[in-house]
Amino acid sequence: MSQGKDEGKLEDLYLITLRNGPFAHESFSPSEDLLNFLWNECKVLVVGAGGLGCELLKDLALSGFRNIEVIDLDVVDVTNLNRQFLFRQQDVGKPKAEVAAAFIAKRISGINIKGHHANIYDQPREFYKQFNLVVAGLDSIDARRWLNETLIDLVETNDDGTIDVSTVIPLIDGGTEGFRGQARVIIPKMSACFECNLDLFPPQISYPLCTIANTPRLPEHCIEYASVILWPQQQPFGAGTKVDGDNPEHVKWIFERAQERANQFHIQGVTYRLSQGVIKHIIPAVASTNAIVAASCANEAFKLATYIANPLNNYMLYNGESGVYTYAFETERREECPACGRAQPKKICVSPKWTLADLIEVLREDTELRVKSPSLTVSSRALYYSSPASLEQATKENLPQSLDCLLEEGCEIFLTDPALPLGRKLQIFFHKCSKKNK
Amino acid sequence: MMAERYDRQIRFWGEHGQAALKDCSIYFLVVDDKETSWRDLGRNFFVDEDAVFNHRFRADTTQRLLQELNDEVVGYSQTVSIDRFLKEYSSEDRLLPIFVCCSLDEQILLKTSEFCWRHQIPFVYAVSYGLLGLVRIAIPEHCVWDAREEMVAQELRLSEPFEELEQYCNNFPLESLDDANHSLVPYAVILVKAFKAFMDSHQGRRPETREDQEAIRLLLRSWMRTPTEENFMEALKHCHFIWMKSLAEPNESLQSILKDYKTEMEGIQLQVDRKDRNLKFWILVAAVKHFVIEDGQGKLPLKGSVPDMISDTESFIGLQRVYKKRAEKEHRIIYQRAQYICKQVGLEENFLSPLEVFEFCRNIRSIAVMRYCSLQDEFQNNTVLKDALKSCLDRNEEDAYFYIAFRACLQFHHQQGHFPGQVMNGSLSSKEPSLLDYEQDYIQLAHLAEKWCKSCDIVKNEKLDATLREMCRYGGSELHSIAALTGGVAAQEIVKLVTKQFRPLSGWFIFNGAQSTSATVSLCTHI
Ligand SMILES: [Zn+2]
Repeated sequence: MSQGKDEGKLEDLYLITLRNGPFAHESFSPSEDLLNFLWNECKVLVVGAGGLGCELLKDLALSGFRNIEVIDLDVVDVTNLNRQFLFRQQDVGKPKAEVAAAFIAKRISGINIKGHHANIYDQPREFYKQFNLVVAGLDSIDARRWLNETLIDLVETNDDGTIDVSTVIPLIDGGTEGFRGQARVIIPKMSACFECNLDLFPPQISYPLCTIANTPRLPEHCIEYASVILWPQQQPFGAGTKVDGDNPEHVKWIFERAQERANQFHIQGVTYRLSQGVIKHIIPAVASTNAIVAASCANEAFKLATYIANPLNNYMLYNGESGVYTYAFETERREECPACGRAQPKKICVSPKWTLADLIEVLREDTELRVKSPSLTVSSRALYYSSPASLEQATKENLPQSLDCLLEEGCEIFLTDPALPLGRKLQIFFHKCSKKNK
Repeated sequence: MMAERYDRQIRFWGEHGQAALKDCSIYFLVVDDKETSWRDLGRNFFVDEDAVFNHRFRADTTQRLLQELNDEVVGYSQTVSIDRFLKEYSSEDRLLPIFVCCSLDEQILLKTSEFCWRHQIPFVYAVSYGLLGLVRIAIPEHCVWDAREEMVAQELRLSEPFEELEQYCNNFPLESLDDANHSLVPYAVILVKAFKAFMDSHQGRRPETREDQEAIRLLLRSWMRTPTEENFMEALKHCHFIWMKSLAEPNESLQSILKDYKTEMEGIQLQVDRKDRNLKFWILVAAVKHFVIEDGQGKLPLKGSVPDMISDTESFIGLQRVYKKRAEKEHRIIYQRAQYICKQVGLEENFLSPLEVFEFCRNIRSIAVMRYCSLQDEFQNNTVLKDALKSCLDRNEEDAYFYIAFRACLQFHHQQGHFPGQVMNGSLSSKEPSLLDYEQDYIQLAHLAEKWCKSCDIVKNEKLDATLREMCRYGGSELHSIAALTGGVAAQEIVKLVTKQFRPLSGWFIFNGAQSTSATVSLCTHI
């Protein structure tokens, strides 16, 4: 064993970075500098320390990245243990990001890894600005949209209007469901972004309310009845307490009410597991798909940082349900993308007699905007602020007012929402016959 | 508590899938006879520095660190050569449910796969080589109990209503229902009525032509009380079920499974004598076959479930009940037929549990049988391989060239004792450019590949040349991300083999990490 410690560990990485080959990127130049860059300069942020995040941290660390930070708001739950291999039974209840970072640091000596037990939405621009690469392993569409827009927002333009490439931080995004998954590379303002192809992730379909209330046929209908109709009526855990799918008492209450309803209608199949799944919209997750998608993201990160080969352009689908299948293709950048393109204000047709509350409801149901708590301003005058509470208090008197009292035909409204760092411009048109879609 | 740990995967492959995994994975065994090196620390997350300092075996260290993941599983390690392991193996003291080989040595690959083939152990090969990842599955026969591919709605027998369904439909006199109830008649009932009405007005003829289809659509529209009556809109959306080729009868692939020699009495007896691993599957197929011929008038048993459709609760539950009852009746007949077969071949009466039989019947439209080509056959230039590669290249799956390059690399290694472009341990530290040069190795590798191509009738082209150069550049290196991806695919395939759900990979999976593309070289007959 004449070999030194670091040389030994890096031998495989040296082989691939010190030699050129026909599949290398055209600007690849073999050199020791590449690994030095990975070691000393390149900073990577991993967003999410869940199923994908754990795999990503391991993969990046063993790919030569030595400056890694990870951010996650969650704590370890027992249902994580089947696939999130950096956590053990005794970690249940502890912050994921911190446990994961500590584990990696313990196993891989010399690595500089930091865990942030924090909400991504609360981090300032400067936090994101310090990284060379961001790799996301998130299950929430909202969080992925937010991150996408945040990185787009960081891109600056030169005086001549061209993009200042030093401000461009590539985003590598992975997602899984069962045996399916996808990995993609987003170069903000230069290639298709998350928002450009938001339609690849259709919004969740919910059961029609009249079915739930009047003609239940499936066990799911009974569970929805308990959580959507009975819960607000009966407020079983005190007024204003929302359903928490992680609270076993809550799930138990819904499960039992759902069972009663199912018995009444002779519907079979209401179980505790199904109840929890419906309440939390649980997506099945298996370790192998996470491993595959995370490894593919880490491979793209390594290629982006070294140019040993061409990074993915720009989307790879994975499907392991029948055989093993992948498909790589280029998604197109949308010129009128509201996040990365030159979007015109979105046209909204309303009846002048609608109230502001009606308008907000329509915006919340819009399948393109997909916002949950929008705030609205018109030529820097506040129409409605959903938060903080003091501003909500001050603006809510506008809610019952009719739109023709508040707005001019054709005026531009600016919408902000926690999910959309860039906000959206809307243009309001009056139409007497506008209907709220139902 | 423990069910909670597996919650997110039970939601995917169900309690029975989880039970199959549990039965199989109560232990794992790592066989490897090397000591842990610094290089291993750059490749593998489940080794640590302590192992290098204390000259511990990789097998022991990996076993110890993997064991931490799950204390319900017991891990073992054996620090012996694979030759010795195979020689000392006896299925009597330890039955291996799955064998995974990760060696880049051609001889070890062939030896281990041959061993598994002989013992009917599912064999999975998983390796990574630079930016290339490969997985291969080999087993004489794998039977899929539920490929999870079927479409439920297609087997409601709407154009061949069974007696109970027809009776049930009589409860809905469309003309005399009030508007509210009219708008809640399930589309299944509407379509049965439409089918009957068509037959009655066409001298008992089934709808076939475009005009017939249009006539049925018109009929449905004429029954609507308002232009947007939702249940009738659903009926219009699904009205092709009336004239589509019936799915009550076995399709082509199912027919060939039902016709297989293994469903005949001698075939089953032979499997009993040889303790075949798919015996249960084939007895069940035989039972279904007898049902189709003797009881079902050519039709498969019903699944027994009904997709959600607009309806009032009572009508829907009633419909569910009709299908479920009928299906249970059919499944019970199949259970009796299976018991009879068991008795005939000298198996115990409870060889098959009723639950197993019912589950099998419910999924009958989604069973599959896969018979693989062995690695021995493949490596002896079997014609199956030629065809498989050809069809890959015809489909423009150019990553098939990586298969050729990989085979040439294995051969190169066998002859030369090192991989093309490999830099010997330690010499990298000097980073002498001449040591990195792979031109000589490339020439020899290209020579091997050319011979190989000739024997397979494949034209050596520029793409293959580039692939060979790229392989020289990799020099037998192992990059962790590629290894992790390959390992993930192998793990997924193992889950499929154990749970008998989903269709496994049909041969080689080749992942080209340089271009993020992949190809499958199929070496398996599906029936
Ligand atoms: Zn965009």
